[in-house]
Amino acid sequence: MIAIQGLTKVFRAASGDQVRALDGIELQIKTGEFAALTGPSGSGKTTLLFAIGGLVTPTAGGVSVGGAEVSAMSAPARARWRAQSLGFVFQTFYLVPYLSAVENVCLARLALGEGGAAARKSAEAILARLGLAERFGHRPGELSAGEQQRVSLARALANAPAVLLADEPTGNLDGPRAEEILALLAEENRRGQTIVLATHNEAVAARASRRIRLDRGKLVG
Amino acid sequence: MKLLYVVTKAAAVILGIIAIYHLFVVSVAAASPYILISLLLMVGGETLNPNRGFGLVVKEIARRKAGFVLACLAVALATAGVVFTQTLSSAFEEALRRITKDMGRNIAVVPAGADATALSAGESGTLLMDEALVAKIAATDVPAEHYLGKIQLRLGPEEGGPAILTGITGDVGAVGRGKGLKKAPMGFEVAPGQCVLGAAVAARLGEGVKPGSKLVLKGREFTVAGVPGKPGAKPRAAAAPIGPIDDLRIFVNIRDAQELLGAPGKIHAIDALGCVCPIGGTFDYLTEIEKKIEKFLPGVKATTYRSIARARLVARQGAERTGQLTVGALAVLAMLVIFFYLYSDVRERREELGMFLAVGFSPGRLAGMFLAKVAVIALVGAALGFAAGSVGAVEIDAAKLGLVGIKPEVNWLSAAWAALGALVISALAAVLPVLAATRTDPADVLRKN
Repeated sequence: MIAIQGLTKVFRAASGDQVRALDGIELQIKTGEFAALTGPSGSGKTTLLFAIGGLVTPTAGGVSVGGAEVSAMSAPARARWRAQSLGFVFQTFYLVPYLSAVENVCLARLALGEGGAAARKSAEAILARLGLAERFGHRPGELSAGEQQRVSLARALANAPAVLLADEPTGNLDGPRAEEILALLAEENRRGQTIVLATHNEAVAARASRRIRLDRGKLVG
Repeated sequence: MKLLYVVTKAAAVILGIIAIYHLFVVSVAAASPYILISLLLMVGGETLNPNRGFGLVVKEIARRKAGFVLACLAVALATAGVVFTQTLSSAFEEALRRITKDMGRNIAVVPAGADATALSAGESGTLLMDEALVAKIAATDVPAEHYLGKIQLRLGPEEGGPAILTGITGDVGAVGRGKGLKKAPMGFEVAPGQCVLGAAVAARLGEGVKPGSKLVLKGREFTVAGVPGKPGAKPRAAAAPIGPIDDLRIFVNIRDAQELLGAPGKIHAIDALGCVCPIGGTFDYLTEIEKKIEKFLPGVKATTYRSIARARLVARQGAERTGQLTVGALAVLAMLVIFFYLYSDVRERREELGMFLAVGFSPGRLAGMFLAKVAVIALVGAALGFAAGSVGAVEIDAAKLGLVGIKPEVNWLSAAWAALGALVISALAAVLPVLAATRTDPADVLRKN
């Protein structure tokens, strides 16, 4: 379960002004839930997602995931925890251009210090599950946008994470490709995967089992 | 790969032990290179682990070949320059050593009241002192070496001259400043009953004089042994002029000269080679040596010939400083190229680094990946540079460059130093870029999209 208590994040803008990206968020997301964070641009969706993933250190309050106090961890401990318990999917995929699809998926295992044949086999299995059995050796430049996002999803799932965090995962995809990704996410959720997805698209958010609306850093619904 | 990993780890541990030894026994300065290399190997070794993604580093290098090749070439250029310069300057210093050795000793010790200038001009000695003083002064901590006891008589034509009959002891105290450092004798010895002819004397005596020929000097017969530095050589053919006075000398054993003079156990002068160690760029140190000698040997007068000392100093320091400046300039150049290469690498790969951190790579792992890459650059560059520098220095036609008498040779020890130097320079150049890489804020770079 994800428990967020009094989470506040204040950024200092280049002008020197303080920007309150998150303002006293109180939220709980149950294990196995598919939650969509929605709201307009600048509402704090991505900041909240990154705070859950330990990429943003809160100004106040805390985040606990599966009993682990993310905000209290040291940087190396947080890195280890992310590798073990989290999967990230981004709008722009962030695949390593000089690695093949399989090698990109193996990166998640490498983060845990695991490599070699076992990691490769497991990566191939996930890619095959996501419909990329013919694309193991292809580099990102040789894949379509939808395929790249599926590789990115495979990388996020490689370590069987407790939570999958997705930031506008369909933002760069056309309708059919976006639908494919949403179907895959729904399928993973049916398998028991907890998913938190940030999107400004109401149609995408409608695919989730729960909608959490933010506006100007506050929960509004 | 497994073997490479094990070897790297073992090397890191051994260097670490050496570093600890130096820290406790010698000094921090001596330990620092070992610490640096050990750390580099430890962190690099982490990424060499077949399960830890050295392949990732190799693939990244393969993708950005141009930058990698440029960085390797910078290290290779610097290493080649250093090896080339050092190989040539070693040969240059060796040639200078031989030349300055031929310039002779720079200190003359004579009995107080004797005319050292007249002696150096080839006049007969007048006042005598004990030969035992040579061994006595050689046993002190006076910073001079190659002591030579000498008797000097000017021979007229009726005595076998014109020549300067010079009885010599041979090198005494030819061990470096009493610290047990063996040094080759500066001069030569003459066996009893034999004589060695200076160039002008050999020329005057003509082709008829060979090794084994007899010469009568001051009524006593001597056997010709050769010319200075070339025993057994035919004097007329082998004699090379050294200087006007020495070319006029006929060297004999000190005992023979003492007998001819009727002064057993006595000498006219002691010549020595004083250390040229300027303090603040002056030659006052030579005055200190004179004072020390006169303190240890009461009743003598020591004189240093500063022109010889100055020539030795300028020649030696010139070669050394030129080499040091070249090494420094090339090292800075290589560091700058590596720094800018790595820094632009980090900037270009910010999103990639942010993604690595987001999927769980620790900042230390990122540092390890960059250091492994730096180690590869340093070692490849050092190997290429050593080969190019050595071949260049050895194959160069020194004579065409006006470097007469220089014979450069490959110095394998400098290969180890080149590798070590390249690693240290590359590691230093990598510090700021690696810090920048580890301080990448994933939230900042990933949010921008």
